[in-house]
Amino acid sequence: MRKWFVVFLAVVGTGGAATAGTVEELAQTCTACHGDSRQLPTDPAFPIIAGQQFYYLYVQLRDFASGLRQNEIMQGIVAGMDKATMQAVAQYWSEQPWPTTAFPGPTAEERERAERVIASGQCSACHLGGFEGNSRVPRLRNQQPGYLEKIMLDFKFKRRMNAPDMSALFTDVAEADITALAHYLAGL
Amino acid sequence: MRGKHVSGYRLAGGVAAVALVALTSGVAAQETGKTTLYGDLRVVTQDMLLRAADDGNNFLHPQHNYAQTRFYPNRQINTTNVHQLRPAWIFQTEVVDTMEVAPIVVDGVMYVTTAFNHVYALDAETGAQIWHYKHRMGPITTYCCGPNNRGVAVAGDRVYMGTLDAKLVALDAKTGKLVWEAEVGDPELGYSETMAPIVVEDKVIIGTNGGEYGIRGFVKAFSAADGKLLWTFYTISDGDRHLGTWRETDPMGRSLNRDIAAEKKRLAEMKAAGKDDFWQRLGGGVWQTPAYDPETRRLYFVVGNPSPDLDGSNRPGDNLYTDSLVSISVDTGEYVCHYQYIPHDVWDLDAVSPPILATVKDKDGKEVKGVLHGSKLPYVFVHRADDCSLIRWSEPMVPIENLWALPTPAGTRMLPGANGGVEWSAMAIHPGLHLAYAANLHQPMTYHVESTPYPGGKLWLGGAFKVIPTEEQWGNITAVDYDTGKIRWQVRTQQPMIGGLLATAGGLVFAGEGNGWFKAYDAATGAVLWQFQLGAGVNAPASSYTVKGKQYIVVGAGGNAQLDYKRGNDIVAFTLAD
Repeated sequence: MRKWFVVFLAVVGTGGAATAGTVEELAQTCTACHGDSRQLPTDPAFPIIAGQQFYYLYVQLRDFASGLRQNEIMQGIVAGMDKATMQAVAQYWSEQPWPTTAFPGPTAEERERAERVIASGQCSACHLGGFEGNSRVPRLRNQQPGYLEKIMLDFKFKRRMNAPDMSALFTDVAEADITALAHYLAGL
Repeated sequence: MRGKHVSGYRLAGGVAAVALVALTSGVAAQETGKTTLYGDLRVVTQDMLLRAADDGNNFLHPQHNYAQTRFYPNRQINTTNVHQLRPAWIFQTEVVDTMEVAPIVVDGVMYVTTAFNHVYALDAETGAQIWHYKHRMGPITTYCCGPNNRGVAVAGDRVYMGTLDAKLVALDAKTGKLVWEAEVGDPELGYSETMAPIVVEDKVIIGTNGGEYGIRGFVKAFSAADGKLLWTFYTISDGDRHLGTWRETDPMGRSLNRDIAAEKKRLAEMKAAGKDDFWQRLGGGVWQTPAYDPETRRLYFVVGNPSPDLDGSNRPGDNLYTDSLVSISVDTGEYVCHYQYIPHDVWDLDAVSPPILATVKDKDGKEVKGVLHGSKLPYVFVHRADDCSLIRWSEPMVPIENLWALPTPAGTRMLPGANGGVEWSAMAIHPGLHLAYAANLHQPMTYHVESTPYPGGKLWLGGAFKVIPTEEQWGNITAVDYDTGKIRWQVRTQQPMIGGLLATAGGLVFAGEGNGWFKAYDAATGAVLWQFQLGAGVNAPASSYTVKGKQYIVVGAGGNAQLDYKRGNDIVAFTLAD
């Protein structure tokens, strides 16, 4: 199934849709901020996308395009991008290795806080053991701690609304717990 | 008894009666006499499937037989010698992840599945691999709660499995090669398969997951020969039938705190605006394999929660047939009867554990064909099979507090938590003892509501369930006399229980725990007679079978994603030490 997109792009991808070549060119646009398999994103609040789950990436691009997820930069980038291109870009990044990271782990107190939140929210039921994610559920393991913290705060304060149940889950999670969880997940 | 063609649940009762005599008279002679005297062994005939309850060689159905008793009729391994049980072999799968499979055994060949839809055929005597099938998973999967699979169905020379990307696959039982693949639902909209299908004659029957994603649930029948869709029963009625009778109470007559006037007002508003099509996203997944009664040619299954789980504000009415026991025709999929446990559920205390057909006493003490269901609520419910009506319910198996307090934005504490009671874990029964064995969770939670519009296939709980981290959690195994509803015995476990049970004519009940212990209990008293540490969560139901005169007990130890029990990848078979 994964090969399908490559074939599709090679055969059908004409007339404005992405071609196999332009996918890599588009990917360079992403690299400027998100880094790649060899380098981390330029800003601690930007997510690693190399090695992220395909369907999760595609849905985010789709949601940026529809306005369901708000981000000025990303909405500008996806403007005019068709479904096939979004899928091709998502496919490309999902097939790249996750970069090597060395984020410091949580303190002992943070670990305790994080594990309490994880148990309470039953997080592994969706993000799975090791927090590698699957398909529409994103990998959190070794993600940038700054990004993880920002996104969980966005959920808590209803700034990110394209995953309503994450917003509900974080509504009453303390900010200190969110910081602890971000450090925990980044340092796994 | 051999050679008599009678229905599964009658056979189970008959075998149990023999077993009870043996138990009560202290007889401990080894016996593996319940054999498969029909068919050419490797090819699973409909006759074999019908007689599975009396088949002590094979384990042909996920719940052993069509009645789903999980009662294995041999007693070579019994209360007097179970302390001699030792591992015979260990097979390690390629997938170290959550494991909920019920191993199926056909004439010395075992079929097991793993997370992410691998299937292995193993030599049941040695554990040696015969073949390995790895499903080519599509890029889009949407599932709750873990990449689980609960096993295969076998019939003819084929093995059938549902997949996380909502396919049904038929494999050649001898080679593991794909014969056909059919689409059951659209994974992008939240459909997925974790249950084992059931085969009846020329039909493979399967339900769907997706009640957490705004699906419209169903049970479908496919042609066993080529995967063609034969019929569909939707668990959410169209028209106005899903509205039900606006019932305000639970089965015990306690108020559910519904605001019927507000619901009706909302319905009128939706109708006026032409937006009363909410039933198309009303959930109603079917998580577990249906039971089948060959005498009446009817299927029995239970239906899961409405979508969104915690927010009832935009789904007025009883939301039929969510949270219900339902019976339909196996030939046509036509509705026959139902019983709804919780109309307009806003707690996800839905019906998931597979129903069991058994002879039970009605309210007048007369023996009737019955249906048992272990519920999240947390009771064992006993129904008449003919009209689905409720005969009785058991004493509660775990604490109940603040029942039917409505979810709030800040969170409402209520017991049981949303996992039960009894989760998807299959119960077992001992027909001779008239006991049903249920694996329970005690997991205090708060219920939070937050109304959000349909998110198009994304998780849609309408709020959150949160385990209260400061409160103690535990589990238990409860033996319920299904003719009286009284609890006969109860054994507390260190952790909430999930996985299911096996009862045997040897007077034993087998159950695993999240901490890696796999235990044998005395079926009559609950005494722990044997235990073995498997090193990872034992959260799958055990099976039993006999090869060359030796009885085996087999179980998977792969942990559990939902309760985050330690993952592993072992299938372990036990037999008596020489």
